[in-house]
Amino acid sequence: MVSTFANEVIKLSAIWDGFKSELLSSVERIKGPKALGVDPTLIATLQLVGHATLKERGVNNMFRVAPEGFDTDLRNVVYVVRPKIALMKVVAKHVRQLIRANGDSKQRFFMFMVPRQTLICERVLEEEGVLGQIELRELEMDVIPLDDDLVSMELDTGFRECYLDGDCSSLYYIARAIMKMQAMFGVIPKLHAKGRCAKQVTDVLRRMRQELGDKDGGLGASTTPPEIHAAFLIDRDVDLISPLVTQLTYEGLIDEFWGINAGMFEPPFEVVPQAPPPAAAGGKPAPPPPAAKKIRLLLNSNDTVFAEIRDRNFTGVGKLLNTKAVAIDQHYQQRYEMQKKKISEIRDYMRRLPELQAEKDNLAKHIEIASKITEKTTSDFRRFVGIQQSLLSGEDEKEYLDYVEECINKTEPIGKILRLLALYSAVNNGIKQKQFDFYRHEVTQTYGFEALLTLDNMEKAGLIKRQDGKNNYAALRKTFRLWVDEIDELNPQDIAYVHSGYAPLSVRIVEQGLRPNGWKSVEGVLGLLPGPMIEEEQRPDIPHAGTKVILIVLIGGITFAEISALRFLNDMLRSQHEAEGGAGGRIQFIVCATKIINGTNILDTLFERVGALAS
Amino acid sequence: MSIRQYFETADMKEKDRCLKQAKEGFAAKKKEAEAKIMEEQVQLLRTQEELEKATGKPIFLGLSVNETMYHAFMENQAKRAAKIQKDFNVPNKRFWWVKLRALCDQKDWESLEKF
Repeated sequence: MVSTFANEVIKLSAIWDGFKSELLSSVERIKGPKALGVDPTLIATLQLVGHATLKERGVNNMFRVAPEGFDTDLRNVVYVVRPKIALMKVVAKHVRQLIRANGDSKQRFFMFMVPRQTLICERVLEEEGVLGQIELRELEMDVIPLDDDLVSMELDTGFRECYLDGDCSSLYYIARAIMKMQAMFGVIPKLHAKGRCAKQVTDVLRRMRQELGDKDGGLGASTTPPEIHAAFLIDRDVDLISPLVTQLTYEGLIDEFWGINAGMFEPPFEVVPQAPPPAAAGGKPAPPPPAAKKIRLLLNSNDTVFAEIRDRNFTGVGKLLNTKAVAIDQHYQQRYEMQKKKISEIRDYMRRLPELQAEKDNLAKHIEIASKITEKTTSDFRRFVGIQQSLLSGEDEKEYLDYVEECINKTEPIGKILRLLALYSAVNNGIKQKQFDFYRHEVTQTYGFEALLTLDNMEKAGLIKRQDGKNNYAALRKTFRLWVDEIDELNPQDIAYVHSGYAPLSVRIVEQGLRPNGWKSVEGVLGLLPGPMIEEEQRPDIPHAGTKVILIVLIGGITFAEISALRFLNDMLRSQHEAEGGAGGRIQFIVCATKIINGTNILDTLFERVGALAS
Repeated sequence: MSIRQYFETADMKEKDRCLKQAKEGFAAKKKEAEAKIMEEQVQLLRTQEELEKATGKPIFLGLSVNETMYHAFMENQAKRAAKIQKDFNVPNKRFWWVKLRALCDQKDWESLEKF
């Protein structure tokens, strides 16, 4: 279930509410019991709606849309899928199978395409001979609020599509999502865009507003102050370094080690027993034994313990949890002193008890997770991080390359090797031809000839480049202060704490954009990064005293560490603002991600699963 | 493209044809390093066929160079493993790692001692 967030600055959850009611009413309109087939990339999103809610509307069965098919004789079969050709073929095959098994007119088939129905998909269904059998609908779900300052479009393969396949549909979805926000919160006065895709999005935005007609784009009178004041649109390939560096924040490490999907974490280990999990929707005919039951944790700021530690460097998390445990314990101890208190005090105490109990449960949960993280941050892991740091600080690249070779020799997972090579390439603006040939030789001989295809994809997507002599990293590092030597992880003074020394370039670019002369003052260095730079005024801003909301969109995905860095920057700007007397509104960042990513999962989308790498 | 076909077919002759085609494609674009990888792959398939004949075990085809060497050691074909190292330009360091792993898995403590 998507939670409502107490601290919302603008009503982001309204977007989700709209989608949810659209989905539920579409489902409700289909009479009779239903089986819901869900695109694997949308499962996490649908889980946010909640099984129980769907069940109330006659969804008796949920299954994954996959080639192996799923047997059902329920009257209605509803597919909720992304408009992807491969999926259309899977659905077509499934529909044919069901018709063969259950007879021609017994079942009705529906397809909800998310977020848009495309002609090409219709054509594929037609070619497969099932277009007549399926009723098509569109489900306009663009952005999903994951927290009070974070929305995600959950475009799992967005990075691959934008940068490898040259498929621009996700850019259209981004533009549409921004239009939707503009319709709700007013036209955003200022757009800052850097990168090829970002430029395309601003072009589409301009066109969409022209199509809507009048000067203001039909999006509300220009006399009302807008709720969002500026937007930064940045291409992921402007900064490929940050997603490839290991994240060292609490939330970032959870994502690195086990993955977080649409704000949901399924720990592969046992956490302290919770209140019984919500009743399953009876998805499978034979439910798995209770021992295998997975617990899903919704990680967001409604969990007060998590809210306090998520953005911290993991180094300080243990101590913080400890302090918290002591504080809660003390609070519990107070009940022995109740005789001495006034009735009103006792009443207050009692009222706070449920809250305290929830906090205690959350604390126990996070202590468990933190201890699992500690188990994983072995000396090997620390060496791995140290090697990355020596590269990022510009100290030693030979050590780095030797380490990569050593990892290959030890046949460590290929994903780790490719991520290390991609990071090297991102930092040095490519790999020298001779080195490139050497590592490719080593990788293909160790992991098999099939790795060649993945390496080729990485090259096409720009994740591995051949160096053409220019290496801009030193200039970038200096201008954007990408490396900060003295980092106090417990009491950080700079965003670089999220990687214990390296400051995410993407966040530095935003930080620079907010300075008085903005991007103009670093135009030369910014020009070293790929893609055009655009600053556009959509309408004059109206100064007002309220909160200044700034929307940050990373096209191709953002990491948790980057989000943490943005939150930290946000806090720094606020306290600066207060120190200066606090004229004008205080700043609040809102992040819109195409997907929350990390180095492992972006590489994963580029992986060619053939031959020995098939699994 | 022909590399993709290579993985889709099970027929050895067809595989050879794909590799040859890929090699010519790369050579035409003056991508010598890539062309050489195609050539090596042809050679690897031959080596693997020989190994399967020599050991009578159909376990080699489709393996990487490393795994081929490893299984050669496991099947007591150390000489052939050494030849692979030479033929495929395997750096000493990587070769030792493979050999070490094989000796461990064979529990050949005596040879490990001498290593």
